[in-house]
Amino acid sequence: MENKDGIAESSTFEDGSPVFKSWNSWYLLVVVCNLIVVAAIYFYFKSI
Amino acid sequence: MILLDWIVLTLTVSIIVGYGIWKTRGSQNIESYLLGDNEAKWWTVGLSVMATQASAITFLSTPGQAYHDGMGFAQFYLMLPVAMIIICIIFIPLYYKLKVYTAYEFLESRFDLKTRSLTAGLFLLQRGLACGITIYAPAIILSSVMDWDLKTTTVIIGLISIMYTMSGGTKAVHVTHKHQMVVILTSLFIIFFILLNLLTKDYSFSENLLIAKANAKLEVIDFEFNLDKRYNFWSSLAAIFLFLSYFGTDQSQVQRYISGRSIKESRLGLIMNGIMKVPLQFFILFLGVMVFLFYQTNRAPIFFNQQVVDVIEQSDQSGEFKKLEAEYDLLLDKRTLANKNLVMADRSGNEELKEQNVANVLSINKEELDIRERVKGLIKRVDDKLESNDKDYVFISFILKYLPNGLIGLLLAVVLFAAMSSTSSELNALASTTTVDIYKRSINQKGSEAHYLNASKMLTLFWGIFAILFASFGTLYENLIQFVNIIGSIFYGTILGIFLLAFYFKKIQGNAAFVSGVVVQICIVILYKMDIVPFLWLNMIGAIGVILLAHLIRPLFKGPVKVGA
Repeated sequence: MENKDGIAESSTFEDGSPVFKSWNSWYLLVVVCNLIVVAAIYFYFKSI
Repeated sequence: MILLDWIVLTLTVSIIVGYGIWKTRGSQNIESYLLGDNEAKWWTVGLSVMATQASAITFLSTPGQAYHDGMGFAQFYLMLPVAMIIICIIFIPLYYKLKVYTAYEFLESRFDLKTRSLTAGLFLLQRGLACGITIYAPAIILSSVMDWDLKTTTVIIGLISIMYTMSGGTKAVHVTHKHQMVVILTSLFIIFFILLNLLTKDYSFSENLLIAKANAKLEVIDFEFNLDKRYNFWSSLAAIFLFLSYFGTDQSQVQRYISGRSIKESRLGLIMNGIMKVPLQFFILFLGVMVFLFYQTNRAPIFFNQQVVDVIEQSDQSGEFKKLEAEYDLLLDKRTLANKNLVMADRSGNEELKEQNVANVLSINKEELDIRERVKGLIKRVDDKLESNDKDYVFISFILKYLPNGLIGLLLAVVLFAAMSSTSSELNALASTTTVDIYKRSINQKGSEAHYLNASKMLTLFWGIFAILFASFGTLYENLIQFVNIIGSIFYGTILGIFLLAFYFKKIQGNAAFVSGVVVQICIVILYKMDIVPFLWLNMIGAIGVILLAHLIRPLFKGPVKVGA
């Protein structure tokens, strides 16, 4: 799907997504995965 | 290194490089050569982006960085995922809309030819230099530890990269990247399990980690705002400018994802990088910490670069060096006892005793660092030109001494692959930018498809030879991975600033963008020379400087506003 400038929309897939329907969900996944990894490592090392 | 290692090394390199050349033979037109016919799927894009960023320096220097300074370097990458998201939202749609071959083409449609040429020129300058370092860094380390001739090693790495990049262009780069990354990641996991097996069985894994923590190796995030510290949480915020510029405007990365099959594949490739990069960086740093733990029960060399040690031992300072070695050996006995006491205190559950032992371990660690500093001073006294930093030698010397034969050959292939994967992307991008932004645009606009294809191939060869020559005349910097980042930080801020002007400040025209770009670039070079701020901040200063100056001087350049994007 394209917007009025002919640029593909950032929030939807043109031909279906492997997992999520919205790009925003993918971006959220990137943030959440990294937060989990960094927090897990930080607090685990802190707890030793 | 025995015959088995040579066989493994030669076979691994020749099979992957040979397959890449065979699979992508006969690129017939410029689109196929520069964009790989836009066939790349998301995992190819993702692996190729990762392979481009992860040079041999990453695998050689990073564990050594963790060995000496702990895992704090991981903070440098914290904002990379955010940069990936911003690029997915803003940069990728624009590049696809304009169907560009290079990132800089976009700037002509938005500003003018001179601004496009300026950014392309800045890219060629910094990437041309960095490409030389990409080859030189592993070559000097391998030549030192393997006793290979430095120039021959440099030429071999450079020539193999030139061979497949010139032959198959972007497609060959992608095909080889995929296989190289699989070998690299598999090998890293193998090393991890070997290290795990080599750690002392007297202590549990978490007790080993306690020793690492007591030696300040597990401090992953530092929230203290301190401009003197190169890596802390706040400098990671500044690093986002470096990542935006590197992934969003550096052709060696842009070319990886604009050759995706569609916007979707390109975005998913960057999302893959956004998810995997930080854990991978932690993992590589953690390998360095495990090497440190291994050396808690095995004697670590007092200095990891044996070639330098040999020079010291044959100099008039050899007596002083032997004294330091004797002092170091005594300290190792003290350290073994301190580690044991720390673990016992931990097992007893007595927190006060544990704290005392942590302090004891840390003070012994400081004594060790002091001895190492004195060794460095000794090296400088013998010959000021000798390299006194051994961070880049920690991991490779461990591999050569303690890994089984066969695996040594595979690991050396990994180092060569990492060097080649970055080099090939860089050559591919340098050739594309020179062909599309300079030659085709400003020198010869009337050539045929075949002419530009040949020009791209010849320019790949030219930049390859340039990189080899630069590498041959280079000198070792304090730390190689930092040197590449410093070169990037000097130029990336300005380039990013110009791109941000193009994206968000529609009132700014070409003349204001161009003049502010030139002025800020000069100021950044002066700032770097004066050594006032840590280099990572140069990215932010450059980008914001360009935006502010362009607004300040905008009234001086009156004319119709051109909005092309």
